[in-house]
Amino acid sequence: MARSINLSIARAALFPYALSLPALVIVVGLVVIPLLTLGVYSFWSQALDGRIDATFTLKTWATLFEDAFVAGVMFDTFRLAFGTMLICGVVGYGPAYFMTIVSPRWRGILAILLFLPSWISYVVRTMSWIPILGKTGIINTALTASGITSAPLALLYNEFSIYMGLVHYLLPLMILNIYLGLLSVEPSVIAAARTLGANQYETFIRIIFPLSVPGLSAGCLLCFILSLGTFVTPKILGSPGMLFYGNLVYETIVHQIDWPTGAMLSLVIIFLLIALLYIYSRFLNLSTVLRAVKS
Amino acid sequence: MMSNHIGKWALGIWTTLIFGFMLVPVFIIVILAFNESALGLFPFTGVTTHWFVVVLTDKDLMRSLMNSFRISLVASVFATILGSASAYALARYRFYGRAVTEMTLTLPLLIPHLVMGVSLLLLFKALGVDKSMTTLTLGHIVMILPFVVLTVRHRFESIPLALEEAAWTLGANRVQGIRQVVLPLAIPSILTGLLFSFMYSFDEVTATIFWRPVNVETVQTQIMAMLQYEVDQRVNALAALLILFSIGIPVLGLVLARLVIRNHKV
Repeated sequence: MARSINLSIARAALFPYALSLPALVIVVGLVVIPLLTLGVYSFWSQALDGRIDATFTLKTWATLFEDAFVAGVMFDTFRLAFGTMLICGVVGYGPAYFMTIVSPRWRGILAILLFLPSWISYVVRTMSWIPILGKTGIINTALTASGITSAPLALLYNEFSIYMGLVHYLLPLMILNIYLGLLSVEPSVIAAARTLGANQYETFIRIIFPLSVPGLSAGCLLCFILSLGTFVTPKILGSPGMLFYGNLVYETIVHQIDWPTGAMLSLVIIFLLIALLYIYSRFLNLSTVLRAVKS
Repeated sequence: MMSNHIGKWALGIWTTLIFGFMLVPVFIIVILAFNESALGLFPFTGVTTHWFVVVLTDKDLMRSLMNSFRISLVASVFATILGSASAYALARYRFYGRAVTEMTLTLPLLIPHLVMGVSLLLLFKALGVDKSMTTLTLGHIVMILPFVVLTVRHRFESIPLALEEAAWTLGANRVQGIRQVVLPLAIPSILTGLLFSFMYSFDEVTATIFWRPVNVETVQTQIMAMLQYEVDQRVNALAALLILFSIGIPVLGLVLARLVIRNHKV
């Protein structure tokens, strides 16, 4: 009797492991181990005929610091990611704040409209700018027909269209994060500020905005990270000569088939990611970043 | 009070503009898909549904569409089963290693798709595994798993433990408790998880480009490839079909979920 009770206790204790083990095995096998493989390959070298030489070398990592081309691409990519993040934050704060001051019914409608673009694929949303910005596109047709410009402007296949595409892709995510940040501001705090004599402007600047900073920062972090690694937007809306970090990784792996360099370049993204998350967690609660996904 | 009103109006106009910026381009593609011109761009020369017929009878495009459906369906079903099981463990048990489990299952969400694409490809190469539909689907499973875990876990946590305890007291074992008490209550959330993980997998392109076997296209990589040359009208028609699908399926799902919830009020 006692033995069978012990046995059933042991089985009950193993139950949560049995439930979560298959998912864990999948993540460890297909995400964690591949990341470790990146680490190993980045210290190996590759001969011209494509054979991997499995002896330790720092050659691949040295190119990161010696190659001016890679440094240039990195700089351009940082500029793009930072610019995109800034535009999204500045442009998106107003709509997010507006969503918190309208009636619950309108709030619901706006929330659905906010989720709508995220259901449509990245590729389709990005390509939707081609007929708008192209030479015979909507904007140029309107500009030339109204006589504002005599010849069509070059709006497509340059950095402008890449910014357009990226901001269009990431703005819903930014607005959602700011909105969730603003929702966590206690209405009683705002009421207290008003009772104590602050006008609406002062209440916003001194109370609401500072309290919404965690959400805003989470949005900024996500926008920055996602634009840092993109190669789809430059591929669709950029010109072939324009190279950003994601494109560099893509070219290295798919066209040059240079595994060690590709592994090294991918690891750089992971290190940047860890550094950014670390900085964020020093000042703010990291779980804020995941909040948008849970909702 | 006056300036207050003006401020709210100005903010409302700004919000309308920004929401327009986010939504209008997509509708333009849908409208453009009905254009007669084969060039795939404006100006509008006439209205036709011809290009939808072209797309739906194009062997390559239909094959890529079927590939996407197959991959996403298999991946989302597997991810939902595995994800729901682990979500239940996380929601109900305080076990040794729980925090690590939780972190590990969230991890795929934090890794950029570009890095996931490269790293898994490299592992397969190191192991000498050839790229196939199976490896591509495995990649998709791990990518969408966190979404299922996060969606479903929340629901499991909101189901009172007392309901399960009542079942145990009445003689049900753990598995019976899950099957007869928890699952019926959680099924709307599980279906939501299934639906959104399907859509997420269906729309994925960044990692898929690395993982796809030679000569296999999903609908997203197919569109990317077509855009590299000149924009022809087939791309717009295909994109329009995808847009209608992407909006239609979740809306249908939400309506169904609402119906199920209405019939199963806790």
